[in-house]
Amino acid sequence: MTNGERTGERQPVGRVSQRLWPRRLPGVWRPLYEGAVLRVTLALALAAIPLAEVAAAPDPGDPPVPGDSGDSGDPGDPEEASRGHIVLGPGFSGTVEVLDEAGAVVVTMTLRPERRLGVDLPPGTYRVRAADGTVVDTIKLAPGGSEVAELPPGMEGPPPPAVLPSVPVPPPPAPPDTVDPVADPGSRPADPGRSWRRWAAPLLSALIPGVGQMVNKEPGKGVGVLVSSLGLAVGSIALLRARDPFDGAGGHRDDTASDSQEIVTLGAYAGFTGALSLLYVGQILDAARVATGKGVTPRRKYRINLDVTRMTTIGYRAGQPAYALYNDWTVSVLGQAVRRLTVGVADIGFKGINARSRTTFQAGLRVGYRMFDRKRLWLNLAVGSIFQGTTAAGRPIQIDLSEPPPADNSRFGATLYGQVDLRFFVLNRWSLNLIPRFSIPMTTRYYSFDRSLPRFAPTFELGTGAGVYF
Amino acid sequence: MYGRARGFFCLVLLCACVLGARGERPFSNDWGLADIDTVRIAVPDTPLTVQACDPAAQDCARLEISGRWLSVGGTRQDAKDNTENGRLDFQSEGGFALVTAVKSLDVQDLLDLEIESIRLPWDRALELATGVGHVTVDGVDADLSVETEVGDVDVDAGVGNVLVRTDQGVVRVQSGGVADLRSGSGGVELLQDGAARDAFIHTGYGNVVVEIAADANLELFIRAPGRIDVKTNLINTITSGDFWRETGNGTTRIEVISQWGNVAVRMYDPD
Repeated sequence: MTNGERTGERQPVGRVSQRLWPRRLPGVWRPLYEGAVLRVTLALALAAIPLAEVAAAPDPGDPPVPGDSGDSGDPGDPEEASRGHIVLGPGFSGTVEVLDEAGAVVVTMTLRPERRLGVDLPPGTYRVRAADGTVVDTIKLAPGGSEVAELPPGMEGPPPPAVLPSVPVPPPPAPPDTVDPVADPGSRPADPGRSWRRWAAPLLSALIPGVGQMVNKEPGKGVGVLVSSLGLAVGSIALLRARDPFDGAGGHRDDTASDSQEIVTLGAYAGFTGALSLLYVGQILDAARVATGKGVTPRRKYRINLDVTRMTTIGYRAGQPAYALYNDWTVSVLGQAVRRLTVGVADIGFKGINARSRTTFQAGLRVGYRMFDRKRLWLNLAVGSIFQGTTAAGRPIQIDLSEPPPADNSRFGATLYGQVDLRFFVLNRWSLNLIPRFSIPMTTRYYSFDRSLPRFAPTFELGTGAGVYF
Repeated sequence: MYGRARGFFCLVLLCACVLGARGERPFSNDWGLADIDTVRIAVPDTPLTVQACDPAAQDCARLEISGRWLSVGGTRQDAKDNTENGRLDFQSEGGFALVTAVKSLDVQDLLDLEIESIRLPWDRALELATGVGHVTVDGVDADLSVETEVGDVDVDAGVGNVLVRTDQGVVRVQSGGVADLRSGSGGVELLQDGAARDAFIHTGYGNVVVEIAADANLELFIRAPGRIDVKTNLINTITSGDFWRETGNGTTRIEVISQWGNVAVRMYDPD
């Protein structure tokens, strides 16, 4: 066994980074996580995707993972303070070596799917080498920084026979400071006798929001989710019913609601329904996470990302009411072409249900780049275009049926946009998304429920949704 | 840092809006009604106000419709141009004329029609159909039909038959003809100011008031969960549930059904 090799047993010199997975999320993110979110249609669409890594059973033989391991380093030592942190796993198996810039092995680690390992090292460039001798990742470690090693999909799953290359390995210049299972403060020790919770908790949360949290012995959170969901649902219905059906029945001078009243009501309704959908989805995923006792490490090396999104904006309309809510439910399928760069078909949608005058099919192209990914938060910038094909439903009333129908019955249009894509990961492969978007329609843009916005109208939209990564 | 993050999110939430301009174009159309005895006006959401005139008058030989087109656009010029993309279409065949609103697919939801007045001879039968909009008809002496999804209907007609359908709205009709009035939700008031005629009134939620022209040969049927109050020359009762009474040979049928409301029947008093 090479010096510094660890095989899964907890080492007495373990040093755990407390900054990677805070026990409680700070300030503004907390509602997105604890309050988190969903709508039934979204849940049904996403429920078909397996929660594979969530269901992975922990090894009962694992030693207990401490949440607050002691720090053996000297906090007053500048060298200690400047060290960075490299994390490997969970979800991978096999043996890897971490090499420094000189090619010296600084640590060898045996990965197990259910464990996350971490090592504190001085700043510098390190390579991660697999058992077959191939370098699988190169990491630039900044002072005080933290990096997660991107391991290839071939290392996922059960551990292959650990055979290290027989080539002699030069001794490392210094022993690794720390190799230790990284405790996830958000995770809990597994309870082998309650494995039913892994499927029951999210299922119950899908049926009645908050019940999954209660099953997970988090009654406070469960009650909070339940009350919040009921409040948002009741509020949404009340706002919907508050609309005066006679608004505009007497013409544009018969305005029974002021512009500000209309905008506030529509904005509140959009906010309530968006928050409700996010809360519903998020609490299901949260129940699954807590039930399995797993932490969250966003899966950066994914191939396909599937998103379900509702883009919403409040815009003017001709006549009365003077303002309306514009909704656009879409699905996006994006592939990660190279690290951080995504390309794919986005904004796929159909607008024919509840539409009396036309049918619209839309799809688009999108290119995005992940500008920021720290802990559970990703920030992508993306640009794209939406293409819409629209056909008028039916034909206008004609007394003389022998006349040909009007040729003006179909349109093709495009909308250009740029967006900021904020993704908060609730599970390793699941995220809740908040997407501010700016778009300019090049032609009339059609929305659900017979709504449309004119060309060249600068449009700010706010999207909410969920994403899954394969 | 977190304060900045909150501010950022507030900004994000406030930025769900659309910028643009509104446009407006008044219009006035008229069409000849020679050989036309029935006119149907079927238009999207708009109030409809009809004033019938004497066909013998020199200035009352045509159908006149005036109003305005309201639009939105990404720019002022686009908003103005969009108002030009809508028109009223007049078709006729065999004594029947149809007026519809035609909007190009580009501007279907960007252009709104608002009819301010309709004028036609009182001897032409009239059919009105709209979505959301109050309907007011005054002076039409021929048969009249009004269909609206949401809106109050107020009719002061002559001796022609009157049919009214509204999903939501109050109906008030003064007519000397047969009346068939239905409101999904809203009160109904019928004043029979001519000879005794049949009347059929249904409402889902609302009170009904009927003033009948005569009760000598009446078949009266009322169904209402609330109070049924009948005070005519020959009938005087207060009840609830179902009420049926026949006077004379019962040739004039008055049927009133209110799913949720009260019903009152009186003799018509011109004063």
